[in-house]
Amino acid sequence: MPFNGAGTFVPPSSTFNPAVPATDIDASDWNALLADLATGLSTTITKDGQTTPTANIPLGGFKLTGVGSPSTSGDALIYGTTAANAVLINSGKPCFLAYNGSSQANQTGSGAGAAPAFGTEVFDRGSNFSSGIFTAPVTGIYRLTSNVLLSLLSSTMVLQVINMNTSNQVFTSQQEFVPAGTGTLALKIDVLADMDAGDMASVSVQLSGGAGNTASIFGQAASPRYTFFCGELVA
Amino acid sequence: MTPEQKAVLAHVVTDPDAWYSHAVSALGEKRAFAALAEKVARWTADYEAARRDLGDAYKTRAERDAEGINPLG
Repeated sequence: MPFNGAGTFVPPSSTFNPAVPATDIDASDWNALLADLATGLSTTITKDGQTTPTANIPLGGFKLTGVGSPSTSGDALIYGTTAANAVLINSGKPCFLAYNGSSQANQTGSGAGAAPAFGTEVFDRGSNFSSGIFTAPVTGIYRLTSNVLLSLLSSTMVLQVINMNTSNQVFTSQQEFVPAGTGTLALKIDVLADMDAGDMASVSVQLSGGAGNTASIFGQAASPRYTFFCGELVA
Repeated sequence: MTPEQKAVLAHVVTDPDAWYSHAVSALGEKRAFAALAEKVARWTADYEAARRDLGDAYKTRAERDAEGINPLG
């Protein structure tokens, strides 16, 4: 047992440990000591890379310094790395993308708000998106983006608004556009939102000027995606 | 949720009860409770500063939003 499990090398007690003056060394004790020393040295990490750690190495708050720039998958990242091939893949980062796989008829037109369903998820890492609502799993800055295609607009629906509704604040993009006949119009919004854990984010759209809610939120199962909502934690 | 937590939350969100209810639904009770504590801790200084600076003129987030301009009328 060269190392005691806490990093201390403990030489075996024997006929010469502790050493006694004018006392012969027992051959088997000598061999046992050499075996322990060999085992102990073989347990250490060699600086020329001959050995490979067999367990996680606790650093106790200290740093690895002078680490070389990463050049291939599996290399350690270092602070300030700008190597062109240093690709960081964070599979644990919250992010989502959902879209309307079908249209929602007669949703808006008279000024009332309507919520796109975003009923089809493409991905949702962390399972934070449900029923058109994203819930922040941790506090941070989130990029939230949505595009909503409205169809069957009448020429009287001249004010269009898309809202990114987050718990801490609402972001709005408004425009005044006079549709020609039964036109279509894409409303877009892209924000960096300060969200606390548990905060929600959703999208709503409004059209004003129509006699009733006769305009639709367009969606289709096939690509391309016209009405979608996506987001990610960025900082 | 304590009255103090609710007051701080009302400074930031429009409906504190709805916020907490959604957090419980989405995160589970344990994580929602921690999220509430974290959110309140984060916004308490801002809330107290607003109360101190505005006095009787202080308004909650819902009251501030109600006074906002709505382009759709």
